[in-house]
Amino acid sequence: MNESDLTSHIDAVVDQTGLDLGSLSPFLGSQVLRWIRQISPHGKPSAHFLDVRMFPILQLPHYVAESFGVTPDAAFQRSLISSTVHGYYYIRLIDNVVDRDRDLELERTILPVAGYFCSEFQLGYQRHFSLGHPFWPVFREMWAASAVSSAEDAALRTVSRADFDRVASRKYSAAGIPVVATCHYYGRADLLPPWLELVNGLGRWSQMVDDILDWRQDSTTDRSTYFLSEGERQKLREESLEDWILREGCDWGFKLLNEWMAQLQQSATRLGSPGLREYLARRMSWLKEQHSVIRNGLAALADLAAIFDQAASAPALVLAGHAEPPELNPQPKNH
Amino acid sequence: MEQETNRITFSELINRCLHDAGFFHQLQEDPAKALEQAGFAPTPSIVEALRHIDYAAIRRLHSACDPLNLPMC
Repeated sequence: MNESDLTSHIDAVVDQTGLDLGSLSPFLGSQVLRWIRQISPHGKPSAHFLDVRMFPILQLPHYVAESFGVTPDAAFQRSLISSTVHGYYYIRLIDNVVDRDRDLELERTILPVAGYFCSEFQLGYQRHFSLGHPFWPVFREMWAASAVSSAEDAALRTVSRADFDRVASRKYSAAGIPVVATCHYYGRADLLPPWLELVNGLGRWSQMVDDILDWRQDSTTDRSTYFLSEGERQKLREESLEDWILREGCDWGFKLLNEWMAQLQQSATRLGSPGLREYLARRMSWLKEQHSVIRNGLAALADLAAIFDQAASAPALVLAGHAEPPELNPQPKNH
Repeated sequence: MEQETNRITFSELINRCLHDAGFFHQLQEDPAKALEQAGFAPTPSIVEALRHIDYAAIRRLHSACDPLNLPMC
C-alpha cells in the first residue's frame, strides 16, 4: 500500500468516526474531531500517522505481508488500518489524560469516547478471526500489557535498564497486535517470534528517542525516565543533570540509539522487508540530524553560560528600581 | 565586589533561553539591555561576546525539544 492509499484510508476512518459519533451527538462528534486535529501535525490526521517521527503502526502489517511475498488482501488491510487508528486514539487519549500535558478540558469532555475507540479497535479483528482462533489469546495478552504499561510507567521514581526494557516493551506491545494478526491471516504464525522481537526493539528505540528529546519537559515535570535516571547515576558529584548531558549524556544516549538501530537494520534484512529497511534508513537519517541539532544547541548554550559566568564575576551593576535581584529562573512562557 | 548571588547556573540559563521568549529575543537584538535587565554590567567585551553566540542553534534545539514536535507514539 503506497502513502497516497494510506492517506486516503486514514482520512476515511477519521471521517467515519466523525459521522458515527456526530449522528448520535453533533457536539461530541465535533469535539472528537477537534481533538484528533489538535494532536495531529498541521491538523492533518494522515500526516500524524505518516510522520517520520511516528512509530510505524500502520505500515508494519504491510512490511510483514511484503516479507511473506503475498499479495495483500485489501479488505483485511483496510480493517487493520481502521482498527489501528482507533486503537491509537484510545491509547493516546488515556495517556494524555494521565500525563495532563495537553488540553485536559477537551480530553476530559471526550473521555467517554475511549470506549467507542476501544470497541472499534477490537471489531477490526472480529471481522477476520473467529472466537476460538489462536490470534485471540495473544491479542488479550498484548492488549493487557499495553494497559499495564501506562500505569506502571507513571509510578516509577527511578528507571533502571531492566525497568526500561520492561516498560518500553509493554508500552509498544499494542503495536504488535496488527503484526500478530497479519502473521495469522497469511498463515505464517511461525514467524511471529522474530517479528515481535522487531516490534519490541523498535519500541525500545522509540522510547529512548522520546526520553532524550523530551528531557527538558520530563525534568521540569519530575517525570522519571531511563535517560534522566542514568544521568543521575552517571553525573559527577558537582555536576547538574544539564552539565552531564552536555559533557557526555547526549552522546551516550545517541550512541545507544545507533547501536540499537544497527540491530534493527540487521533484523529487517533477515526478515526480508525492503519497506522496513527503507523506513529504518529514514529514521536513522532523522536521528543523525537530531543528534547534531541537540549537540550544537547545547554547545551554544554552554558558550552563553560561560559569558554569563564572566559577567557574574564583573563589578556589580546597580540598577535603579531593582530593590531585589532580577528573577533568574522565571516561569516558562511561550517561545 | 563580586556579583556571586547573580550567577546563573547552566540549568537556569537553558530554562530561560528555551522558555522566556522575551529574554531570548533581547539577547540577540539588544544584548546590553538583556544583560542590564538580568542584573549584569554590560561591559563592551561581554556584549561583543554575546553577539557571536550561535542563536540559530539554540532555536533549533528549542524546536527539537518542543513537545509538539516530539515523536508521537
